[in-house]
Amino acid sequence: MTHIWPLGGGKGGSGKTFLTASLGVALARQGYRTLLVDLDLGAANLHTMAAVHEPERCLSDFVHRRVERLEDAVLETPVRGLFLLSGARNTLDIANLAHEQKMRMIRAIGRLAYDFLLLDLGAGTAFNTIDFFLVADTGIFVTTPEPTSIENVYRLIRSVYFRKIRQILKVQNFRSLAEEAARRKREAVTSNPEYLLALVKSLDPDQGRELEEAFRAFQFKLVLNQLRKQDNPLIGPLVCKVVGKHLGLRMEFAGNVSFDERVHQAICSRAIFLDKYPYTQTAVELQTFCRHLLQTAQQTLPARESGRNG
Amino acid sequence: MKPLDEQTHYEALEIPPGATPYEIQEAYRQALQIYGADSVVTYSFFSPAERRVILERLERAFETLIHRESRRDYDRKLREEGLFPEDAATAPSRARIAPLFDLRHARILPASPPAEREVQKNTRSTSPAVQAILGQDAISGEDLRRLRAELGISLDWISRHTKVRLAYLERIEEDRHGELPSLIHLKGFLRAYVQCLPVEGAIVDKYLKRVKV
Repeated sequence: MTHIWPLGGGKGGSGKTFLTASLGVALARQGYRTLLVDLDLGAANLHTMAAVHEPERCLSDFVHRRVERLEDAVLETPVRGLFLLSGARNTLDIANLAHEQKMRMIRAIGRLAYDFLLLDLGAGTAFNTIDFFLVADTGIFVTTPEPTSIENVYRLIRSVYFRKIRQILKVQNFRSLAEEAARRKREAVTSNPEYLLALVKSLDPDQGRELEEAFRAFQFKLVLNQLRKQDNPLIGPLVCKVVGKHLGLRMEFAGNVSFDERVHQAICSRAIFLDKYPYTQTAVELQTFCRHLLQTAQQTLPARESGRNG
Repeated sequence: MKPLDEQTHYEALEIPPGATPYEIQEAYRQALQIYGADSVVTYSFFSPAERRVILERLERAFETLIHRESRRDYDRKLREEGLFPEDAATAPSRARIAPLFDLRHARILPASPPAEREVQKNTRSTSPAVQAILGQDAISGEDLRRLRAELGISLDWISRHTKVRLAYLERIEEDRHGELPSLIHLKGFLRAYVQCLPVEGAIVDKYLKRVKV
C-alpha cells in the first residue's frame, strides 16, 4: 500500500518544495521508502532541495516515451531510501501537458510501489495541478501567515472542490444538473462551489449525498510555513475550522513551521536542511509534522507492517 | 446543519446553553478573530455582504446573551419553542457544515423546494384516507389537519416554507376564521398552505364553502 500525499498551496514561494523535500528526508530516515515527484512541471526545483545536482533522467523521458515505465525515470538521492522523479531536464513544453499525457502519468503514478509518494505541485490552480492533487483523497496544503498566501489556499481548495463536483457529475451523466444550477445562479459554478453543492442537493438529494460522501473521503492537512515570532500561531487551526464549517471538508492542522534564515542558507549551499541544521526549532517542527503524517497514515491502514528498509 | 438565521444564539456562538458570561465573551472574541473584517483567517473567503451578515448575526447573539434580562427572555422563548436543550451541558454539534444563507432566502430557489414535494407526491398520495378526504364536497379545518398528517407534513414545516405564522395556520385548521385578519388573508394563507400539500383537488374552494362571509 502506497500512501500518496500531494503538497499544494496556491501561492509560489510558500515553501511547498522545501516541505516536500524535508518531509521526504524525514520519512526516509525512519526507514520508509519514499519517492519525491516534482510535478511543478514548468518550474522544477525539487532536485536541488533533495541534493541531486545533476539529474540524469526526468519526467519528460516518460512523457516522450524515451523510457517505457515511469519507474525507469526514478533517480536515487544521497539519502538512503529517498528517491526522486525530477523535472530538472524536462523539455520546455512540459508545462502544457496534454490531457492524455497527464492521464497516462496519473495512472503510472498510481502504480508506483513505495511506502510514501510525495507530489510537489506547482502554484496556481491550473487543471493539471488540480488533477494531480486529486490523484489521492489526501492532500497537504501549504500556506504562510500572509493574506496573499491564505487567499490562494482558499482558491485552491475551492478549485479542488469544484473539480471534484464536475468529475462526479460527469461520470454519472448529470451534467444537466450542473447547468441547471448555473442557470439559477451564475457564480455558483465559477466561484462558489458550495452553492453548487447546496443546489445539487436540493434538486437531487441522492446526487447531493453522493457528492457529500466524496467530500467526506477527503483527508486534507494544513501546514503553516514561515511563521515568525510575532505571528498568531492559531491562524492554522482557525483556517482548518473555517474550511470544515463552511465547506464541509475535513482539514486537519498539521503544525506550524517557524521561519528560519538558515533555510535560505541551506538552499543556497544546496545542502539538506535537516542534515545541516538538525537541532533548530524549524527542524524539530518538521520532524513533528512528519510524525503527524505517519500517525494519519497508520490510522488509515492499521494492519500495515512497519517501514520496510529500502 | 441549520442555516445561520435558523440557528439559536447559542449555536451561532458555538457555546452550550449553560455558558457563563465569560464563556460568552470569549466565544464572541474568538468568532471575531475568525470573521472580523481584519482577520487574516478568512481573508477573501467571504464576500463583504456575506461577512456583514455573519457579523450582524454574531453581534445579535452576543448582545442578547450577555445581558441577563434579555438572555432570560430569550431562554424563555427558546423553551416555549422547545429549542432549549434541558441538558445544559450538551454542547451543540460542531462537526457539520453551516451554510451561510438559507438558499430560499437568497432567492436562488423557489419558496417551496420542488424536489422534496416531488418525492412526497410519488410516495404518499395514493393513500385511501387521502383520496377519501379529497372526494368530499366540502373540507373542514379538521379534514385539512388529517390530510396533512396523512401526508406526513408538519404544520411547522408549512409555516417555515410559506412564511405564514404558525398561529394563523392553527386557526385555519381549527376553523377559527373570525380570528384571522380578514377573509382575503384567509384565502391567501389557505392557498399557500394547500400548495405545500402534494395533492390535486380544489381544496381551497371546498374549504371556503364552509366559511361564512
